[in-house]
Amino acid sequence: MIATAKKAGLRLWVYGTAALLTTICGFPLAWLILTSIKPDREIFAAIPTFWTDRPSLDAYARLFEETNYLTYFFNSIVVAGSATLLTIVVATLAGYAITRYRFPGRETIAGGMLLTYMFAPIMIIVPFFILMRGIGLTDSHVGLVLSYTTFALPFSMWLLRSFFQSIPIDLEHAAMTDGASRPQAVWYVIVPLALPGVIAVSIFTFIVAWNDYIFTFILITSDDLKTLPVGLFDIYTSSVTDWGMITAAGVVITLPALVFFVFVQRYLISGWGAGGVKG
Amino acid sequence: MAEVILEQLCKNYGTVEAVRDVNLTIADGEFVVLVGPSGCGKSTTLRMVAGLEELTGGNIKFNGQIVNDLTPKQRNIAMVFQSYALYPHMTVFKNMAFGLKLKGLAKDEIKRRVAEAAALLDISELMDRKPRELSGGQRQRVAMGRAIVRQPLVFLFDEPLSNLDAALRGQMRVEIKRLHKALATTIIYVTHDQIEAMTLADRIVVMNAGRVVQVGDPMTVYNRPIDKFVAAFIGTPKMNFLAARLETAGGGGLVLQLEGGGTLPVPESRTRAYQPYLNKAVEMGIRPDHLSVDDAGGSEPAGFEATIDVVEVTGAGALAFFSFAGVDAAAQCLPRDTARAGQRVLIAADMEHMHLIETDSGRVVPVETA
Ligand SMILES: Nc1ncnc2c1ncn2[C@@H]1O[C@H](COP(=O)(O)OP(=O)(O)OP(=O)(O)O)[C@@H](O)[C@H]1O
Ligand SMILES: [Mg+2]
Repeated sequence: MIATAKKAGLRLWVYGTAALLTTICGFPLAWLILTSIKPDREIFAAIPTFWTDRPSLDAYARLFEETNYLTYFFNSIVVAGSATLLTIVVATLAGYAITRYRFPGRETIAGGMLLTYMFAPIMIIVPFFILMRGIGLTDSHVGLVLSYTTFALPFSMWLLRSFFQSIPIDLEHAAMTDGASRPQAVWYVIVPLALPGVIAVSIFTFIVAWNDYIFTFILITSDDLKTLPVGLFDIYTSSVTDWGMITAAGVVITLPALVFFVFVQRYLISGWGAGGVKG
Repeated sequence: MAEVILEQLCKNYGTVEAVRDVNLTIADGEFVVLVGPSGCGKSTTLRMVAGLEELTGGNIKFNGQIVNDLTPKQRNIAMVFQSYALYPHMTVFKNMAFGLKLKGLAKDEIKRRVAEAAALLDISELMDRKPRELSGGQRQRVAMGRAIVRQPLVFLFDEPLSNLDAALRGQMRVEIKRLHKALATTIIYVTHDQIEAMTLADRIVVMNAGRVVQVGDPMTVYNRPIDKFVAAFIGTPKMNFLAARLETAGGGGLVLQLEGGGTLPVPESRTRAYQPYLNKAVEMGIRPDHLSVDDAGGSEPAGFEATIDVVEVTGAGALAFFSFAGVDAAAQCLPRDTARAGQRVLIAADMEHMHLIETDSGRVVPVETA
């Protein structure tokens, strides 16, 4: 009796806390979405209302018709997507190499990786710009993708390295004696087992690239190459502040990241569990 | 099917010499067991054969062809690991099918081979489970199944049973032996358990400190160990080693004068072989099976006196432990002898089974076999 009462109490506490946190995190998002579908008059009402009786997509129509937002949107998808893919490939190979191969200075490199992560991008943006100009990659998506990859790589490599380290070497050797080449062993056995790490890296990189303002601002000058954050800011500063359109832009910028995260996070938590080795 | 030859095989890790100068010819279809204490280089040797470890020196040949620089994939071997190393994210079926898929076999062929191996190992019901849903013994079987389906040239086993409990280990030993009979594939099997070595092997390879000490069939290694290390390592309970001096007896025969007191006649057949050690300090090696606590010595057997410390009952028999000239030793006795702990008794020795050991080198002096 007492035990079940205790259990129920604990459950109440857990769910209560979870609900509270969800509300705190979700409220601004809900507010943003609701505002974007309100008619202007309601947005500027002296006493704000939460719900609206007359939802409309006018703000979205204005956003896509009057601005270049759709172009920015596709630019962001292309740039963030490419940076994520490139980072996964490079970080996986590098993380694997630094765990499995012995070479002089291995530990120094591993430590150094983390050190470079500690530089805030803003500190090296000017030399970075000069470098990009030198190799002719300013005002191009390739330059942006390389920038994001550069900044996401150290942490990603470091994270994947610790995942690889936790995978018993016997598994890889088993795959190899099973007739796999090293790349096959990595692809069929190591990567699936490090999948939570790969997912974490992809989320991290995607967010870095998706949210970036500073690199696009510095490197990109052509309007049709701009990404969402810079585009949003342009809309904000351009004319009369159209709050309906700005919130609509905010929703558009948030949704893909949200969808990406929801899609990917179930792999993050599923995990594979132990049992392959001993136990 | 393959004949495997190891020639002057060496492996160094930095300054550590893990394997030194190993020479071994393993016949096609032979079951060879590498046995030795922890760290003696068994796994390293096996992994070199598998192609997982580069050689520092020497050659490995499969069917006369040098395979030193071939990858594990090219060597066509199958290995069973001590940790089983099942792929945690794959079902049992996929674990077993993995190697066949890589080979590019047709789906039907893969299914047929996996089903065949599963039937052989009695794991057909487990096909859809993940490794974490299996018991230790079942994982072990799956690991073997994964090796069998590949129909390799050589099976390599690295202590496959050491994570199982005693009963299961005994059962799996029998099954492995049965599998070898059925498949007739060359097997190199590593263990530090000398009982496994004795029961499984066609030939035992005893290793110590990176070297091969003795190669021979189980009974030869057991009955005629080449040196004190092998004599001590193979066989349970462990062989006794008693310090002694070799002297002449009346009538041209030899006797061993034990340091702890007692005179034991050396069998006549050995007189010639042992002659060079006359009047020298030597050691006598004799297994507890050939020492017995004598009951009221009827026919005046060869023996010596000692005080029993403890008696351990093993079932039908029992072992009496005693200290002799500062050395721990054991002799067989009867379970009812437990009551005689602390008593001074006569211990009879069956001298036909003794070994003479050079004190300095540890070499067992060879004798002509009849
Ligand atoms: N990767 C390595 N780096 C350095 N030394 C190693 C390495 N692998 C093995 N050794 C050393 O080589 C020697 C032989 O090791 P090995 O694993 O072959 O022993 P083993 O006979 O299999 O022992 P066990 O019964 O404990 O498994 C040991 O001294 C070990 O410390
Ligand atoms: Mg070992």
